[in-house]
Amino acid sequence: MSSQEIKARIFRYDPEQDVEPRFDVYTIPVIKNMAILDVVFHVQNYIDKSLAFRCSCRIGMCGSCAMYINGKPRLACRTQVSSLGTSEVTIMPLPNLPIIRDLATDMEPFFEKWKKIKPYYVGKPELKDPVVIRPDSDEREFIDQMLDCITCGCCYGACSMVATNEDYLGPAALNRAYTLVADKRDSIRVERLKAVGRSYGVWRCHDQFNCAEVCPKNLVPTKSIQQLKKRCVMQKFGVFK
Amino acid sequence: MSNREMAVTPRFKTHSQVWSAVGMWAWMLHRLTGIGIVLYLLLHATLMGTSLIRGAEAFNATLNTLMTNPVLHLAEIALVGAIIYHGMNGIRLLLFDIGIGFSRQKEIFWVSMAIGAAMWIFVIISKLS
Amino acid sequence: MRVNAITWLFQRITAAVLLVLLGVHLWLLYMNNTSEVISFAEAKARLMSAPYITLYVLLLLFGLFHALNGLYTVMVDMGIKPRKTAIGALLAVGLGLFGIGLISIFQFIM
Ligand code: SF4
Ligand code: SF4
Ligand code: FES
Repeated sequence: MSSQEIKARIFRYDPEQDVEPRFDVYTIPVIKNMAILDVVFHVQNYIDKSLAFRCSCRIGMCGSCAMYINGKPRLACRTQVSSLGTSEVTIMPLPNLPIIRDLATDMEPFFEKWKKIKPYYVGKPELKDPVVIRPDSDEREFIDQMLDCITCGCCYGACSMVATNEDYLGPAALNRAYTLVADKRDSIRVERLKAVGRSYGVWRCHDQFNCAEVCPKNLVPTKSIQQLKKRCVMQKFGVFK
Repeated sequence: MSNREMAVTPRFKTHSQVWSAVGMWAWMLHRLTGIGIVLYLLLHATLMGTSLIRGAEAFNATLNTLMTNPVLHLAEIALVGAIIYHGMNGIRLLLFDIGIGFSRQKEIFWVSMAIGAAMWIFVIISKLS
Repeated sequence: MRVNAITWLFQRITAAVLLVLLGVHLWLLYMNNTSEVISFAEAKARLMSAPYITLYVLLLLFGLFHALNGLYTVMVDMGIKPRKTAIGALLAVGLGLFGIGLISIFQFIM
């Protein structure tokens, strides 16, 4: 174990007791391969038991540990302290989402919007399973990657459009919508397209790329959203059925 | 507080942004230059329009006050810069809209900025000479 | 409002056209001007032909649409609530300026 230490500034706020949020500063010994999640665990275990945060899988699969770490939303379990290149780290809750306590945010608005795009596949009744989409087709390869979303909300917290317009569906939900709209076996594609074509849908995206910048799965929701915009215009002219 | 209540009362959120990314600044500048150019356009159309309607003398008089003011000449350089930025970044955005360049957005940004800067310098030099 | 797709498309089309038209407009102002201060007679000599009039009418129309629709987009991004009022106000400004602009452009051919 090295004798190195880092200084962690952690956002603290309990809406039921505190009038204002504050930052507490902790000095924490660095261990080998330490992730930010280990930092907040260290605080909770040895310094202040009341620190609230959320995590589950610890290996970047569940998407529950997203936090705003040194200037951008990241998964706490997949962010190595050494990768930050500094011995000072500021940890805040995910932006654009209501705070339950400290670093734990309420994902409700995120999933409410997720529901609006009908995030499930509805097969055409006339199709008999199994229906095949060739795995080596271009379309399929693109969708494959977009399916990797773990609903961590990093993109949602990074998007300035979500910050200024709280009705905006946000990158993750729209990305999900695209994977379904692009699926030719789906029977409610037009309905779904109409849902994302409202003014709080795709039209709020201005190719800012903050979502792609922070996505731990390296998705580019911007591209899915562009594909949706294209299909909305095509649908308007009756070319998309 | 019950869950229901918590869901409807406005609750505290942070709105920290991602300032370390090129896309954020590109968007921000696009907005600012856009709003600036709109304001200029409204002024420009009103001034040109109202003076032209009043006839040749009024037009000449207006242009004379505008074009002999040194401060306005500096403002004009800023305006042309804003238009060039908005146009060059606009080309980048149009490329995205037709599905090109998502994996190279940062490089495209810097290339378009380099071309834009060259154009701006050209305008400044030809204005000063 | 289900015109989002159409206004979005027009915003792109006007953008592409403006790149050319504004380019020509600026080029004319910087490269084709000899005197310090532009005079009416000079401008008239330049503008009297049909292609130039067309250029400026289009520039006015597309410029106003792109500008005001852009402004509206910013408003919606910021979550403006009385949208109808905003649309009405922007339309009034746009039509007003288009009218004034048209009359003044035609000063050059009268
Ligand atoms: S798109 Fe990426 S950043 Fe957004 S929720 Fe999915 S995995 Fe997280
Ligand atoms: S590309 Fe679109 S969705 Fe992604 S952060 Fe930017 S505005 Fe938001
Ligand atoms: S704890 Fe599951 S993604 Fe970090």
